[in-house]
Amino acid sequence: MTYTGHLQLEASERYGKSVLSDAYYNGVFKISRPTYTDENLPLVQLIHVGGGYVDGDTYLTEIHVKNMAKLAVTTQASTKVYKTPHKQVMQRALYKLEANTELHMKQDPLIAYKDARFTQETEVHMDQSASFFFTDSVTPGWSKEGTLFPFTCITSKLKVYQNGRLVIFDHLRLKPDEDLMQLLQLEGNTHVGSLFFIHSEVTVEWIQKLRDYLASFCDDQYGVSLLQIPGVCLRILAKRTSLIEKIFAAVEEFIHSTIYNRSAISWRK
Amino acid sequence: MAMTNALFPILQLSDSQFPSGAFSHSFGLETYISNGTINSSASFRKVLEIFLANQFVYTDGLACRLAYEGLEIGNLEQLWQLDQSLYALGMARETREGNRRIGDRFVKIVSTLYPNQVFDQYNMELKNKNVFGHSALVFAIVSKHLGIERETAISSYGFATASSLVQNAVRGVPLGQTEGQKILVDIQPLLTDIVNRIMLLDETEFGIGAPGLEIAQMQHEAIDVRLFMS
Repeated sequence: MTYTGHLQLEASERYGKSVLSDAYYNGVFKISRPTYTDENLPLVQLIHVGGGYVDGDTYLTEIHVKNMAKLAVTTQASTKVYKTPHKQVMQRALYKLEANTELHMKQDPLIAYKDARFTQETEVHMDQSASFFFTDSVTPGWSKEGTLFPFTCITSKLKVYQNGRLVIFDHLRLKPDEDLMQLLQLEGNTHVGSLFFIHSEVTVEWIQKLRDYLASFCDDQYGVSLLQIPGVCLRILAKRTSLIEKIFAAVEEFIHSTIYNRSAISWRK
Repeated sequence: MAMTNALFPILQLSDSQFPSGAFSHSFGLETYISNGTINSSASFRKVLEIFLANQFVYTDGLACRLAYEGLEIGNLEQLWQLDQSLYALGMARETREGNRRIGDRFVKIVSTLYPNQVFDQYNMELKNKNVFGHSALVFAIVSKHLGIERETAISSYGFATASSLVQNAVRGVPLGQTEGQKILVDIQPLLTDIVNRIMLLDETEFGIGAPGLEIAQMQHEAIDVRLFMS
């Protein structure tokens, strides 16, 4: 199958240093030349050269982090999905994390415009010793009619397998004809953000500290909780992207200062 | 097991007094009581309706249907996968653990009351820590075993879910006993509608979450004074 955009990345460890050992891209996907963060983490930016996602587009991203390697990946800009009159946009991502690896994925928000239909399926296969950071957020695009939710349907599925066993299954679907504003749904908000961090040192006590830390400066509508494996899920509802980004940045900083003992990744945007 | 009247076991399992432990869990609804969103019979009923139309439709109810269909073709592997998926869907620790405890207890009690080979297998999978236990599967297994139809199984499970949440609201909001029972009458058309919707869902729709509810379930961990474990 030919994709609108296809990307394959592989990171390996060579003489104590993580390097991008292989990269393939085709269609509208490109990557920046890898840079190194202050912590010697290779950082790659994903670039979509087509400007936005349109009717019937298909995307596949595959990232393989080999033994001991670390990799940080971000998007260059937000993902914009436009109208899909005939066929929805499908985006798949497959991440494979071998033993003692780190993958940090920071995605810019998905902006869904009028009549957009988009499905994203992310599958992660990781070793128990690996760690994984992931953000995902959905923003309704501007529409000239002033509709709060101009899109038709946005679906995002995340499945994480640890040592072959399904441990996280997150399934979000935003369908404006199902009264998204009501209680239990978006509760008067328009934006949703999710953050996952899986690491062997995440405990109930660590999450309590994170909760106290976030509560000290933020009273937005969010929740954090321990997953079935050592790891945390944060979910936030907001009326603006900047609030979600602020919380994500705070969690990232907390993670890096308490667990990695280093400053947060500077994503260089 | 010869069953001349399948109504009795269904009534038994749907009884909010059934000792599954569901009376100790609000599944996040106590957060709404605590912050004043639920403060009356009307406001509780609204939340219950949305809970049933979302959490029950896409997750618990659909899981019950899919488990029943797995049993119809003798595919037990499908049941264990559903059990694992249900556990993996739980983003809030208390709710996930609550479902597991209730599910585990429900399997143990019901498998003693209505023993059959599928329950033997379920107990074995539980013992091997391959699965966690979930009430959706118990309703499917016992119903299939007793020759109760799929729709009836899902309807009973939906009514049991509603009834247990109403009993908890009577204690937690609090509401009058009669008010609580009145809600169980008023939501009957909705329950019928919900079962019809579940029958038409596609398998790919399994597990669609309600973000606000999930946040309420997570926030419950930080509530100071609480009546419920989730």
